[in-house]
Amino acid sequence: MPALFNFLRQPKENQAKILENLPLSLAQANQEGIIELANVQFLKICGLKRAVGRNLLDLSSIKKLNLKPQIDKGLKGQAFNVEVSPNLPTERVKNFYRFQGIPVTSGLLLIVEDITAQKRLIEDAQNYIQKLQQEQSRFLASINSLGRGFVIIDIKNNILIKNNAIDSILGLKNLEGNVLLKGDIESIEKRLKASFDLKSAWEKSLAEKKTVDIKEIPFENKFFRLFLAPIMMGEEAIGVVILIEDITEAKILDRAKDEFFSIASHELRTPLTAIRGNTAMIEQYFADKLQDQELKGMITDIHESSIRLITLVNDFLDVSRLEQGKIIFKQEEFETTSLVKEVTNELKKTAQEKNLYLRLTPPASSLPLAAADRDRTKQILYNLVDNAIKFTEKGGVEIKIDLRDKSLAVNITDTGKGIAQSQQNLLFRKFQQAGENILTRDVTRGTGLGLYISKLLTEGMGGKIWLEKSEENRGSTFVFTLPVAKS
Amino acid sequence: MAKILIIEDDPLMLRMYQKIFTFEGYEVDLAADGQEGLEKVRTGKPTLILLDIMMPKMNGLQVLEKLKADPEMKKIPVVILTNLAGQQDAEKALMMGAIKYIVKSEYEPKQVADVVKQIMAGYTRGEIPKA
Repeated sequence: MPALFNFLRQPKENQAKILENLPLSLAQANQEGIIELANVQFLKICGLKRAVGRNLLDLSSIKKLNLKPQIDKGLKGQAFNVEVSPNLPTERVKNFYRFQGIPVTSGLLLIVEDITAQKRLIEDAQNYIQKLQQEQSRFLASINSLGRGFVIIDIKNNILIKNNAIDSILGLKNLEGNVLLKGDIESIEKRLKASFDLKSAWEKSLAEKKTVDIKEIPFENKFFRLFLAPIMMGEEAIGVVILIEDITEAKILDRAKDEFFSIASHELRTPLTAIRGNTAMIEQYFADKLQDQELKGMITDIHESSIRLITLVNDFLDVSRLEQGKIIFKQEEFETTSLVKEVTNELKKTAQEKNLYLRLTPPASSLPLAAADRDRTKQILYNLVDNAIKFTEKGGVEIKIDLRDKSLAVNITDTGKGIAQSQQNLLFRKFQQAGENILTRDVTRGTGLGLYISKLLTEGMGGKIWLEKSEENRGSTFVFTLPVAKS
Repeated sequence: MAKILIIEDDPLMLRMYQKIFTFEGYEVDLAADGQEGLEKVRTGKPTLILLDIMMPKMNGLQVLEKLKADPEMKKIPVVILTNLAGQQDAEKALMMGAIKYIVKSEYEPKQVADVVKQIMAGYTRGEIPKA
């Protein structure tokens, strides 16, 4: 301690001042252990009023801390440096002190430091590091359990974190036997180069601070989906997260589903058509052989069942194709009034059989053309009007067309049994029959897909469909809209 | 007497359409595939052809192409038979010169016969009804 030599050359008053202002507790004993010098801090720490003249080895604090052996050694010339705690194990708060013994020619210099705060800081830091390590393990475990390739890069191209999946997805491990050559994004960019410019994509994500989602990239004999997101720290983008998902299997499944539906529908429809056609011909050309009413009834039932089954198959195929977005809507312009007339003509007989009126209220003024797929619009109209007739026993069905919010709105009002408030929000759902429980279902209601299909079709053409109003035993009004032709 | 040639690979459907046209008083000729169909057009010279779209070996569109490429055969009206899934092909057939397409499962046999009757009447009057 060079400072000590300077200290000892100081005049006595200064010496005292320096001693009293040290952040340490200091005492000096002679070779027998008698204290010749001690500062206030030392008195305080040892709980003494007076220290000079007393023997170090006799101090109760020294005895309590089991420091006698060290001090003995110290007086004999051996330096020591120990950490002690005066607290009982049962005490919650623990204080720590460092006792340093420095042998000097005249005896022993004893320095005591309160290291409680230090120790606490070190402990806190250790806890914190442990927590971070746990966090990181958890994070790594999570990203490694992802099926998708996960990479985080910083703004300088360096890969900060990557998971195992990225290597297998991109087939990187086999290339050179090493995984990700330089630890930067270049190797991945190179790998994807033929199919996709990854570099521009992540640069764009960083620059614009926006996510980038590329739904399909063909890569060798697979298909990938790529997702990039900038990592924001306040307003700054400090890196990019890149996710690569192998969607090959999903695509294969999709195609298989498609194929299954076409084949299934074809295979189902052929025999159904044969049943329908043959029973119709029996009714028509062999009526004389069908004089027995029972027999006639059975043939009629077979014929009608075949039609129901055909409708079912058609509905299922429609739903499947609509849900997969595989239906292409033709862009046509047509007059809604004439289309409604077509439908009312086709359903006139059905309405007449129940003594119901079926009419189109002529529009007040000329209406613009609709911009939609005419056949599909006819399908929606047919479904709504057919339903209206089905659920009405007296009165009839009225159709009105008007302009609402720059769209053409077709309103179908019936005087039928109406729909209970509690059932109304079930109407356009898949398989929902807005009726009571499934055991009391009215068997003429069909598959429960009609309104669902109408909804998908309407929305697919840019329109909306809803139940405008309904009252039990008074009737209902359904409305669907179509966009207006631009001309 | 008018002669209808039905080119259809499914025996169920073939029998059904044969029946309706026989009942309606037409002479009916049958072919189970495209190749046989083309031969029977050349030799039999039908008044109207009912052509199925989905057939193995040579599908309906290929048969139609050959029909319309021949100066004699192209004059015979062709009605396409299809199921719902084949609608896009059927639209294509219309552009290739077929008169109309019929979705098999949506028509009763009598309705098919009526359509054919209409077309033939139109042809004899020199009018071709709209598809």
